[in-house]
Amino acid sequence: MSSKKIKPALKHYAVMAVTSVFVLLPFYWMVITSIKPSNEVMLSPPTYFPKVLNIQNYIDVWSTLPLLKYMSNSLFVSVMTTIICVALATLCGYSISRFSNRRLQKSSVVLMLLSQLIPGVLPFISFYFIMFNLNLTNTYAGLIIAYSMWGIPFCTLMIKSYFTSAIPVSLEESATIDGCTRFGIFFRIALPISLPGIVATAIFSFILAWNEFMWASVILSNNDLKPASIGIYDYIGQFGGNSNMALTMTTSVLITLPAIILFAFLQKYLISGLTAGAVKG
Amino acid sequence: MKKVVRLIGVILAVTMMVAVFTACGSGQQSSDSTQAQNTSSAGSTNSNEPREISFWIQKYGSDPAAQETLLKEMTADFESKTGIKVKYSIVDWGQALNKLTLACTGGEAPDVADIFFTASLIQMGGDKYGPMEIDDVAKEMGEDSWFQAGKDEAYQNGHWYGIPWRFDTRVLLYNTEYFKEAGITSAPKTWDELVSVGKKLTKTDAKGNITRAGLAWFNMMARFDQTWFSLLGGAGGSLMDAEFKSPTFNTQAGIDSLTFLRDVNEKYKIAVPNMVDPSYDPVAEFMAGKVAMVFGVTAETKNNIEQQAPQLKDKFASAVMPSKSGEGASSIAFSAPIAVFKTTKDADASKQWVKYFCNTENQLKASKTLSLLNSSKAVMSDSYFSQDAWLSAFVNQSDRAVAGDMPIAQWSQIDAWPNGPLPTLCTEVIAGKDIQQSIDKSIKEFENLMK
Repeated sequence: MSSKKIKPALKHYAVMAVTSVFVLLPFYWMVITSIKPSNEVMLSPPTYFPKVLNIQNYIDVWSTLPLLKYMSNSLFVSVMTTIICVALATLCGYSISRFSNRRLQKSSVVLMLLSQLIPGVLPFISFYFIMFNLNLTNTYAGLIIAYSMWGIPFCTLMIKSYFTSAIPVSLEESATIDGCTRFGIFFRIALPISLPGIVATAIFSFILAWNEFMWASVILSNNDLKPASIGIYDYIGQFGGNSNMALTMTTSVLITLPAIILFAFLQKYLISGLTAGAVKG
Repeated sequence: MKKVVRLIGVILAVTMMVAVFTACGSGQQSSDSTQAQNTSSAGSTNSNEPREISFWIQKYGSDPAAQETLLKEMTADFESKTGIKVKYSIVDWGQALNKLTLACTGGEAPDVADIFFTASLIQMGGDKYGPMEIDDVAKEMGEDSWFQAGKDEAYQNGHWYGIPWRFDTRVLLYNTEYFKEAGITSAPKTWDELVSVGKKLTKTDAKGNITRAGLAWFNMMARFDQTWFSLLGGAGGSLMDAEFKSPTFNTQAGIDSLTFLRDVNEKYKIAVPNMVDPSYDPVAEFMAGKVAMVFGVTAETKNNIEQQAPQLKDKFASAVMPSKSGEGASSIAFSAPIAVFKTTKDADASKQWVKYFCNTENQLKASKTLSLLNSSKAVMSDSYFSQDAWLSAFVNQSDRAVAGDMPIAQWSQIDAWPNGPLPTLCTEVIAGKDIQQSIDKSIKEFENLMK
């Protein structure tokens, strides 16, 4: 390779390396703390590579917290939120992308954009009392409804841009000429072609529900329903101190794994789903 | 055809929603029974129905499983004795005040709860919500059973709104190896001694940067108000008058205590300047060997150190905190009551649980499991507290402590972090602002909130 090509490549990799270190360092720290022997956890200066690998935390964590229950709660709530968000957002997004001149669709887009501009904590108290009066506090349903409400607008806008950019109207017109109904077009043509966009939307709504902390911490007081994002707070004591950093990091590693696995398998869809419509062709 | 497809779509959507919320039903069934409580009157029960109450308690101790086991054992034993099922929830500290506030303003409320800021919650709740009077329970258990700090928190306007249980005071933590190394034989008793010992323990590099601080104030997120309350008491001052009507820290004691709070770093150079950084954790620094003494640690600190820095086992100790003169108050004390909420559907069952949970035997068990001190004189007189080298300092400190929380309704606003007048005063002083001006400003805001 000529030096003219090597130099830009080197710059490119150098920038990538620095960015990667910056992004990955907290995760590295999380993993390394989870496998450090307890007498190395609080050392200063810290040890960047543990002298001895200690996997005891990965055994202890299951008896310290009902982690399996917390994670299954998270999984249930996240999957349900994803199903609702994807089901409603695809219908809504398709409608908006194909009937953008109608008043209802136009105003829907404006309202959805507006909902993204309002800080999430602003309607918190009134929303809490609505849910309380509907007997939805301390229930899975309360969590799923809330997450879906917050997720659907963004998911709709996301999938709408995918429908607009990835599916040519001419394709649908051809199907119409062949006698396909509007629903037929949606189910037989639009949905299969939009799979990357739908998967990207699903990943987004899943991660939103999996990571959410604030609402779950307010609405739930029943330990049996706690998701993992709240359960990890069991390590935080009376004065905000954490007296078991190693176990906290071990739990963090385990909680992060499902999201990482999801990304690993579906990241090609996520990237293509997110970038669709970014450039006008 | 179009209509049929639409109809199928609608049916599918409805079926899906029904399936989701039917599945969620298990959550609803297992959730607290408090939802319907607000509409039912306190104390009314049907004798044929199984009795169940809900109980909220904050997170204590360093092992989440230990508290879970303790509560499981206690509730099972209580159920076997009374037939009353107690459904407990461990509430994390980050949300405790939010949840109690909601419980006192018409939101979800438990039957019984571990509360704090009692006076504020009573006022918030008014006639309908919040803690209810349980004078009968207090009388039955003996009104003189608890330390004054416990009574101050639970006894308001001539009535008992809870039974005092956990107690908290702060002591001096020091590294015994560093003391030996510097030839120091006993913990400092006065502020002057604290500075002199701190100077001996402080180490610097060639450029004069502190590599090991002699002293650190115990604080979280650069919050110094509780440290200052201890110093104010140690200088002979007080936050409020005896009737809790007005602030009284605009005195020489107020100025001295705030000056000392600032000077350990500014003048005496025995603390690191980045102690004011919100990420600075004095106990973590102590565990890392970078701090020799921490002023104002809790009883739980011992477990914290032993778990996270086992290399320090038997190399640290606790002592009564120094005051300005070496006598009188030198620390703060807090107590928290167990309260029954006005919205309870079964006041009798709730009171029975309070009596059971707060009895001497169970409180001793809770203290041992959760590393807590106790408001009960009988519990604290047990040899578990007096003969343990670490805990005995807390027992001695209890006699030299002033109240850390004022029993007034506005306290949650006055001491609100970070913008209440008292935390703001400390932040401003540490940041180098004029002490008298900061006190004047704080007093004004304090008085406005009291109106």
